[in-house]
Amino acid sequence: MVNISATLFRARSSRACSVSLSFSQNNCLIETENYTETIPIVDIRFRPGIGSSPHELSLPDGGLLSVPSKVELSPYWPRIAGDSLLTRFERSPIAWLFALVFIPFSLYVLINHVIPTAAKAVTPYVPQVMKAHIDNQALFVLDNSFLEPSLLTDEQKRSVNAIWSSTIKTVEQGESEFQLLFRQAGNFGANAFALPGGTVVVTDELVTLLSENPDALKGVFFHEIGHVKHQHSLQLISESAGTTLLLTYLFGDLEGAADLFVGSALTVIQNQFSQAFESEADSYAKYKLEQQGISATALADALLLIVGEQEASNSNKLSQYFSSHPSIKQRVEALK
Amino acid sequence: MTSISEDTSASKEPSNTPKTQLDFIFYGRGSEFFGVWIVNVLLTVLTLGIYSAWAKVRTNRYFYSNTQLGEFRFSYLAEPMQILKGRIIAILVFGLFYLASSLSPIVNLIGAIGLVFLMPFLICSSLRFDMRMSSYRNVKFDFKGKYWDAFINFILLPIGSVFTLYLALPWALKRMDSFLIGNSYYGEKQFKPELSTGSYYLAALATIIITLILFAIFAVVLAATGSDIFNIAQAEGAQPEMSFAFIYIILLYILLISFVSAFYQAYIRNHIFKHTELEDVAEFDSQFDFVSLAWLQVSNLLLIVVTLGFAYPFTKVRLANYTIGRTDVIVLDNDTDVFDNIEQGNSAIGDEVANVFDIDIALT
Repeated sequence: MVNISATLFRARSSRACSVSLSFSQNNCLIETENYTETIPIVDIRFRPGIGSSPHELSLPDGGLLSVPSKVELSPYWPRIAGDSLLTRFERSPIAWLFALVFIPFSLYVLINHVIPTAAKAVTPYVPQVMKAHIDNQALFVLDNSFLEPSLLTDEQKRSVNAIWSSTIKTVEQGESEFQLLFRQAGNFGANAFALPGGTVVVTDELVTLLSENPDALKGVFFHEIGHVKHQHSLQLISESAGTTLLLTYLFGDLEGAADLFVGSALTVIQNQFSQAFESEADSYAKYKLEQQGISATALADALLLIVGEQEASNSNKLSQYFSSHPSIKQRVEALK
Repeated sequence: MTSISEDTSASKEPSNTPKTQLDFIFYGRGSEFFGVWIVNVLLTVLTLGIYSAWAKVRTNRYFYSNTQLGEFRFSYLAEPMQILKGRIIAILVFGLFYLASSLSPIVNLIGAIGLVFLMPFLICSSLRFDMRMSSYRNVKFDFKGKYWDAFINFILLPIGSVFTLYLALPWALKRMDSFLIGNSYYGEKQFKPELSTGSYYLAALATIIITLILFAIFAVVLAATGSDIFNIAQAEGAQPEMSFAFIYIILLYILLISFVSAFYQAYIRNHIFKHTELEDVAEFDSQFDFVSLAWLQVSNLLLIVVTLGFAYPFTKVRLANYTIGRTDVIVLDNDTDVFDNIEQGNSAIGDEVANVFDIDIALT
């Protein structure tokens, strides 16, 4: 029998004493100069050290034995073989290499495929009442931050509304869900956006920019209606909720600034989704425009006017990752 | 402030107890913890998150049992199943709250108010769990803070300080720290903080002055180096989007915030440790300084970003080395017996709900 030197703490006491341990078939023998105790191995809770930290043996009476990590104790507790397997993985560079490749890969698959698919499956079941609530909330926030009341004249609004109603008439179903709102945008510039419940907002700047070109405005409307029809914003909301939950779960104990980093990584990933959404909304608009005998270049014209040809020609790779719209050039090409 | 500390230590002298400073050493190594961490992440992903409870226990055990005070190591005692149960409940609560709050503003408001009343409970129960799962020399720590005390210190006073134009906030922060530490126990021995309100006001004032100076420098640096990039970003105007300029400003901002928060953290932590005693057992000291702490935090963040997160285990070991290396424990009498009087059996529920909602309560 091998004698192992260890430290014993008796139950409910912080006093330490050095002991000598030895193991027989079923028992563990604890010895000091004037004291001997025999405890069945099955009654002792063995917690192997991690890395080079000491092993801990919890005794049935609440005592604790601390054993140096060099000592091999696992043969006496064959039932926790899982722990020694873990230890072997933790020390194996091959396991590290596998993990280094596998972790990013599986995160990529989860975030890019599993979560979007799940979100797509869920969105059709969201009731219209809930979507209308989301519209109201989003509009409330936007009105208090970016947007100002519209400064358009009644006449301008009337002519835009006329284009809007003729657009809405051609939408297959649920035309009652859609409503058009006018807002002045300030820094936001010439733009339009759609909320999940069917609220479409155009900025004064866009109305002025496209005042000579009603077909282009129609193209923009179809594009926004396309977003609503495909439930894009709702899908984005579910995806971001799913991804946030996943990353919080996996990396929940990251501190402040690192959280910010995860947050901006999320923005990059989600903007890539929305690039796909833009293309989808474009092709919806193209289909609807052509159905009415209008060339899809009307939307292309609107895009070029909105962004300005200059930005379309020098958009670089990096800004594409941070931008919510795919390179305008690609979209214009696709519409022609 | 220094005179106060001399006074109190002088008043302890008469018993003439011999003092011994214990060695406080962290034995963990970045390369070793990397293996532990990466296997944890791998198994967590493979089991779709279920393993994370085991991962948490393994990580905590690694850090606790590699921390040596005097001749002995700390232990972390929680069992994975306790943590897993807590996590399942936390996810249910979190999911319900998220769903309900996206449904309507009114439900959102009710949920938020409910959360305010839930928070003191979460603070107390998660601290109690963490402390009871920590032991040193086979004696457990404990936290005995009460719900209404937590409610007063963490909800009422901070909200109330708004009406004093935040003038009472440093005092409220001092009360929070006193509550957290004064309700902590090692075995039957209580931690006794004697924090000075003046130090919290001094720290707040110095933090504000440093913030103003750094913001002035921030503005100058931005004007000198960033104006070109910034102009381009504005010219793009039509589409507000993330660009180089944005990243640049964010980086400068993080740098600035790190320095300011490091100053406050270092000052307050040092003050707390110098003025806290474990009754009849030990005194403490801390030598954080804000330049080295800010450097540690910023460089750790950069390491994480540059390696896409894979340097995380190394940064955790660096932080542990810094923290333990700059903390002293001075025992008043080498032969003190501290008896353990804590009953077994807790659940980790409070702890995990707090984690998911990201309510971060730091002891230091």
